[in-house]
Amino acid sequence: MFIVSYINVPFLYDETGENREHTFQIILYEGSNDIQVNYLDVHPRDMSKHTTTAGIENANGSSGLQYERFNTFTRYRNIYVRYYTGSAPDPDPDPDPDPDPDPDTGTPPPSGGDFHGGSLFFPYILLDPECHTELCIINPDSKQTQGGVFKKYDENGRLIQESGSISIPPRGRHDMAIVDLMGLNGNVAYMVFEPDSESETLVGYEKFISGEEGGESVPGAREPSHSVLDIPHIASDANWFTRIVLINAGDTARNINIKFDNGETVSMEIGPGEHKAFLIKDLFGGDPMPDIHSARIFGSGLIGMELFGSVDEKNELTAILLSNQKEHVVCYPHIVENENWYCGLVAYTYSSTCDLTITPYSADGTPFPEIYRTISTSSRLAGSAGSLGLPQDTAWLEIEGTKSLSGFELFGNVNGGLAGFVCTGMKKKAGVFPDLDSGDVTSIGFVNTEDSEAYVILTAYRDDGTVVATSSINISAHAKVVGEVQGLFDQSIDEATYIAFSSDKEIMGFQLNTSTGQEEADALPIL
Amino acid sequence: MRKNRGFSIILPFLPLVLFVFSGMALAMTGGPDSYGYRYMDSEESGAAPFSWIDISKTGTDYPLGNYDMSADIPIGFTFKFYGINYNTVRLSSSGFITFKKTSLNGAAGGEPIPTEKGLADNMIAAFWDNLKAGT
Repeated sequence: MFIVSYINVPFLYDETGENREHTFQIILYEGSNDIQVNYLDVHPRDMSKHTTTAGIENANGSSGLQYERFNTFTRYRNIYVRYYTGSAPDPDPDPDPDPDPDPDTGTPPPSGGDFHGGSLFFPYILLDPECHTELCIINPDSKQTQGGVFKKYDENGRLIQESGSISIPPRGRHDMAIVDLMGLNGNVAYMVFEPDSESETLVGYEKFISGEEGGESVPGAREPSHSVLDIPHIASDANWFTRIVLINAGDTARNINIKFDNGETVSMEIGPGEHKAFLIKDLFGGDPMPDIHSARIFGSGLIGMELFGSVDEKNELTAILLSNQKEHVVCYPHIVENENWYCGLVAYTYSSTCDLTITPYSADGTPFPEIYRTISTSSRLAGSAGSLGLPQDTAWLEIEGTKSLSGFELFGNVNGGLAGFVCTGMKKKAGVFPDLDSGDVTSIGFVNTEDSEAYVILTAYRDDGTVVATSSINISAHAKVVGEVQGLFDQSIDEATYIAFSSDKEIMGFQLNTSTGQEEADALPIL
Repeated sequence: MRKNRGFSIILPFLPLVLFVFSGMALAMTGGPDSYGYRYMDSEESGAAPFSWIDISKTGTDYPLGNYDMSADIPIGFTFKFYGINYNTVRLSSSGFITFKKTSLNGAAGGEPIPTEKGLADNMIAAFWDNLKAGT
């Protein structure tokens, strides 16, 4: 067990003049992972702007528990509260001993699920002579070198190979093709970057290119599901396929249920560290399921991704992470519809009937008249700029729901390029556009979602963290700036590999890489 | 003014840390949250009796200032919190510990939990308030 004690601690400002002191301790239990807080003598209070509170909260504030007894502001002595998961806490935790070696191979059985804090998951790996996958890690810290190792796992969650230690200097970037690091190995199912110090500041993405399915970039995933993952869009018909990828990031097997919007439910078990990848139609005897449009996966500790692509000669493919994050206002930063490009967007809720208010904006920040829609339980709004009746000059839009929403957008061109990203959790005051691919055309876009002008500083970096060029732009309230990245700098950024930005306002941003002929496209939100 | 705090230190506000082994039996009263955490306290019928663990002579002192956050402190084992394994923790002078690599100390807390204000995330709040590091 691990214990932290706070002894005779007074309030910083005690309005009562009584100089109350408080003594309490936090205990973390090995094995059960229970938490106990002992209160020897405390007196919570109700101030004008805040109260004393107690509880637990996850990494992004989306889940937690408040210890309600402290809502009564009185003195408490000799009490404790215990936080735990499962049906009942183990009264005498007995951590599992090390697993026995495999008698056939002499190697230990899979230690799946034993993932280091701060690990970044790259859930989908293509690795054969026709396909390849690139991984990239960026260290946004301006002062500290950070590092870690890449680990390669098979579909059963068995660690099969790891890289040597990788050190990334301040503001540095490290990318690699998996084949260069580890050679061709058909066993790889997914990769994990394990940081040395459980740092959660490192960001990364993976890019996979398939000769048959096109290519796409997806941010590295860090946050497993709490209890459910939503699949906001499924296309399973004669023209499109949808593939689901799941990793059990926990250290115990889980029974998960996938409930589809047509009423079907599929159950499966996924072992610790196990990786599952399947087409929707594979769950139904190989038959396409055109009446399925969305689903919910009930299970905790899961990392998820979905890929959807066309089965025709265009080989369109895009992928999005299955996110835990939901918001009442979701912004879609890139609306385009012309002779070369189209876009599609999805807003999804699992809650009861949800009223949506759609506000389109022009590039200069002028709002167009609002559009209203209603979606029913476990349903979604899905459409293109044309089908939603958006004004022709719409550059971006926001959708406000009476219930929390998840959402994503994709955009494609007539040459077969298709790209997309999740639209929740995109607003930031600092971040990176991580991939200036020398072989592609890179465009970046900003949307200022606030009511006053934003001042944005851009810095182009090399992989070693040295600066290539700097620039700044002002973005009017609710305006959008988009264009080829070189156009935002006076100096050449040919040597730059990524762009960092900082802003005095919360902005949304994305990047789009397209091949010269636009047959391939991949997009990333700011990381 | 310094009162008897049961251990020999210079600064009056020092979290102490100790590693030992034991276990305890409990029942439920609160939750679950969306991940599945629940809680119960010792006031409930059938709960194990309260027992303070005195680490004043065996723990390690970590002096903190007002609105302060410690560096990473090794837990000594792998602890899973909301599905993520951690091996280190940080201590806030505002009455909570966090697994987040952050210098945010929760000043102006406490807030309702969970809060998406970002004042303090990935945390175990024992007594989240503005607490005084010295007298």
